Amino acid sequence: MTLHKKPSLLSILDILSILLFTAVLILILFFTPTELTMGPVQKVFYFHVASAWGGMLSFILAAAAGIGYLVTRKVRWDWLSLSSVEVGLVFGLIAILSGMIWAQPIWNTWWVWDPRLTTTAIMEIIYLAYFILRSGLDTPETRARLGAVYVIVSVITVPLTFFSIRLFRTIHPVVIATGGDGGSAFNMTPRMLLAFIASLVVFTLILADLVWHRYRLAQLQNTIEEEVN
Amino acid sequence: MFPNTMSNMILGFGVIVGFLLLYVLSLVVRFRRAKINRGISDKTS
Repeated sequence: MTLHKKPSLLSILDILSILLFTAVLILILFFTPTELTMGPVQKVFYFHVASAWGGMLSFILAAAAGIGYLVTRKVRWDWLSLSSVEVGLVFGLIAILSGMIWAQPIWNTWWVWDPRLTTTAIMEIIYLAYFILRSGLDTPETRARLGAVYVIVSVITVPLTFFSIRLFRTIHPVVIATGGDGGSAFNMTPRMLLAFIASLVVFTLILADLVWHRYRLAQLQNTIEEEVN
Repeated sequence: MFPNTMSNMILGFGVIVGFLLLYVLSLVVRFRRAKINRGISDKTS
């Protein structure tokens, strides 16, 4: 088995991700209004939410790929699952760190054991343990099978994290709110809303791009493992 | 008057861009290492 040449669609996605990321960054820094009570640090919000969204989407994708593996027993589903978890962890870490930096001047502390922050930290630790589990298993088949079961079970942390701000008392603002639960939501101006939606789109593109690259790496590593054994 | 949180904003964006670049770099390094290993395993087989 050989590694296929880099698809041209992936190259296009690379360029598109870089260009759109730069454009959205400029949009946020220079064309969105500064929030009155928080000042410039509020601008971190756009990428903070987008990276949290990317992390959660990635973990859902990993679970879907896990189901794909258990149904078909094709190793490519395991590669997709592994890639999604790894990229999801990076996005989750970015969300946590950027949130801490945002919180410091606003809440006057880097961290509080708030339901949203706690469930996000638990979610990260659970997905981090996925790699510990895999590294302890010898055969690729066992690794793929148990890994698939693990990501399917772990996906429960995603809705738990997402709905934690609605289920429990929290100081974390509700961003995506409708009707009565939007008490602490921002009142976004049209330009803020545009930057917010653009951030979600660009982080979804970056997510797809990185997962695709990581998938190709997993494919290459599998080829080497097969050749050595 | 806005509160002066400019340095926090710069740190926030620095961390976000920095971690994304770090991950991309880790992918590049691992890809190169895998390709080198592939070359070695091709020669030995």
